[in-house]
Amino acid sequence: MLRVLHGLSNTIRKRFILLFLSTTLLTSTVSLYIFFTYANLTENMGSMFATSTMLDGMLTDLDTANTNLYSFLESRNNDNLLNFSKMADRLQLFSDEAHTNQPTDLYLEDIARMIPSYLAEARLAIDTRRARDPAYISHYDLANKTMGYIRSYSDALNIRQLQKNTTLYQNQSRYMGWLKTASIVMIADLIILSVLLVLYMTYKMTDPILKLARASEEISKGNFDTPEIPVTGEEELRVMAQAFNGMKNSIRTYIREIHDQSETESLLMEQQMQNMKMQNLLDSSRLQALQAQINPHFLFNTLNAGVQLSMMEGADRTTEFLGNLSDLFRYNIQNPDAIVTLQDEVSHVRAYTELMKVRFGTSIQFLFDIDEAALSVGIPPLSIQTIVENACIHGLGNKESGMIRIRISESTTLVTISISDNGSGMEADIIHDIYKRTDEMLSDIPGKKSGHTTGIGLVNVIQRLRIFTGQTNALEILSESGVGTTVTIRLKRDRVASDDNALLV
Amino acid sequence: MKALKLGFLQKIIIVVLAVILIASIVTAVWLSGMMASQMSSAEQFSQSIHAEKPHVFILVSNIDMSFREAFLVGAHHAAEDNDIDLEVADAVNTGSPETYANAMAAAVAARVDGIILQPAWREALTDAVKQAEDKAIPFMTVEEDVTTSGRISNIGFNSFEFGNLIARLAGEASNYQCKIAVVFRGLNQDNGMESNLKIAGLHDIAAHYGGMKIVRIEQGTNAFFGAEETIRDILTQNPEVNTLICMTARDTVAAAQTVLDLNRLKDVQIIGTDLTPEIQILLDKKVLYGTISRNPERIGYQSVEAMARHLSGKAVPDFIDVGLEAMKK
Repeated sequence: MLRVLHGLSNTIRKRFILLFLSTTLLTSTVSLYIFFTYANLTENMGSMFATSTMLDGMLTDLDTANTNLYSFLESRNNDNLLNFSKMADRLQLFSDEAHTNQPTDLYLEDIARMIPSYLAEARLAIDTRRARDPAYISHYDLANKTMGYIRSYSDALNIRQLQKNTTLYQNQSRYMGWLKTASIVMIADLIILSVLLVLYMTYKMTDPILKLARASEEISKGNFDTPEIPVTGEEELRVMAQAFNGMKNSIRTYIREIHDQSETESLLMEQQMQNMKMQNLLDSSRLQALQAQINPHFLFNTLNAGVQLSMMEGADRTTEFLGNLSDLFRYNIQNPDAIVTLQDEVSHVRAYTELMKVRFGTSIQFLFDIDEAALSVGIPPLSIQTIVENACIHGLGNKESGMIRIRISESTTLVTISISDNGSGMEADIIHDIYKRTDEMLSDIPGKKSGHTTGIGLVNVIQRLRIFTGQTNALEILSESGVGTTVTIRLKRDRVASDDNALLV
Repeated sequence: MKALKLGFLQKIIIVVLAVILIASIVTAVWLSGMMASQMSSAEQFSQSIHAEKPHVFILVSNIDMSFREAFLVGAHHAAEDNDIDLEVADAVNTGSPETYANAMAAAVAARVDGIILQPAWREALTDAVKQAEDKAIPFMTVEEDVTTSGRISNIGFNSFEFGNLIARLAGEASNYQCKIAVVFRGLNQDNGMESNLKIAGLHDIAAHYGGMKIVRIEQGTNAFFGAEETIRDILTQNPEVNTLICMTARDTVAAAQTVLDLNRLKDVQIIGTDLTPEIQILLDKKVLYGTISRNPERIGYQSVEAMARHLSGKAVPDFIDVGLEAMKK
């Protein structure tokens, strides 16, 4: 019992049970009601003629009794007497039953009372006939009259009942018509109501499930922004909706966490990529430097031997030349990861210019406009010398004479280094190509080798300066074809060589 | 929102259908109840009777139909008040001596508990009355009497006084200077003692006032329009008649119609009997001068009540006078 009650408390099951029970009960009740009503009415219709049937039977018995009475009185035949007695018993039984059953009409009561009167007179007639007393005739006559009264009362009762039954039948027929209409309305209404109830309840119960299914479909497509499933309806559906909403939110949170983690990892990966690129550049620079160190060491030693030889021979200009060349090589073969002071870089440039003067004579003039206060600032080695070299080779290479100005000035926060020449200048697309190659090299994966060879020194300088300063505009090229080129380097005032050594190593 | 509206509409439809279903069920139940009730009442026929209740048979002639109808109204009231099963002989069985006697004999054969008899066709009733006496069935007479029988009581009025009263009304109507024609309807061929007493009472007053003369006395007939013909004959054959005295309600109405038809309303006064709705209208319109009410309803009531008293073992007077009432506009 408790299990049944517990089962009924499950609302969706209860709903289904109640739905089916209610529709079944309604249909059954209405059908049973209509069936019993019509059965009862049929029975009642039959009972309308019960009294008439009963009276007809009684009258038949009475006729038989009276016929046999007459025959007996006429012929004294015992068979007639027996038949009369048999009929008399039946008539008496009718009378007794009519009395016992409480007659419902005074005429019926009269008939029931007349029968004993008839039988009494008839028996008197029989007795007097047996006694050969002529009085039997008057007794028979009275019995015959009484039979006539019974017959007329029966006729009157039948007529009265027929009249009543006619009226009753008309009324019953009218009510039957109304009852038929009511039954049709009832059945039609019940059918529509049952269908609507089933549809309504089914839709009501399955609608949340459909919503859940649609939302699940959306989620399976990866759309976690579906609206919350309303937590309504049956208890089980509420549990399902709550569980679904919770599951959706949990998955969404989990995915967001994964996404965040992925972004973090992506950033980390990018950072690692940058580091790897930088390392690659460094490795490339180191390689180049190592490659460059092989011959310079040999040449450096050889040049020192030449310096000593020229000193022994007293060739002072040769000694100076070779000395400058030796300094130049020594500077070149130093650690390319180290940061040098601007002082060192300027000294190196001066040595370089001296060599260039020996080579080109007075056709190239080198002008130095140096603010000595700015020379403590750190700079990647060979930065200025490379630019001066480019100015000599590319800017003034095709000209008979020219001038290269190296100017170093300082402001509160910046040290500005400009190397300008009045050479042939560069086309804008060449400058653009240099910057492009610089960008490509910075974004290239490690190990990828650039196909460019021209201007590789300037590109290298720009890359190193960008890494060193952390600014893309660390080196600016302004050039006008046929007028000249000015390369400007801007260094932060507060960055000294000792601070930056660690950064590049 | 759309789904919500649809749901609400569905709910409304379901509620309406549920109401219709309940209404149709209630209607069907009500109809079944009505049908069962009709069947039940039909099974009880016209009256609810019980074996314990006295079964009283009433035999009243249809000669004076208005008297019979009013009488039966009172009789049924008394039956209800005194718990009596009342059986009334059909009117069709009270229109001839044979059927009248047969109805009485049948009641005797049915051994009813009591018979209330208006003794019309007294001769024809002789055997039946004797059988009732032989079988100790108590019976009472109303209006007229059978003094030679063993009837328990007679309920009615003083017929001589009736004659007196109606004559006085006729005298008042004509300042006691009138020539009177009388139309009466006796229950018996010999007009019976009660009819004779009525005429005697009439003569008694007429003799007292010299100006009142009874010119003609006619017995009414039950034939269709017979009453009208009788009145017309009187007024045409005896044009001096200026006062018509009618001793039944039917003759009273017929006299009024005939006087109106003959345009004799100004010179013929009509004195009627009983107070039916028609007579009341004629009184109100002053077509009738006055009427003597025999109180048939009271006779009917008191006769059944007297029978009930007798059947319960109580004493009943030999004659119960319900009284008479003279009425005029």
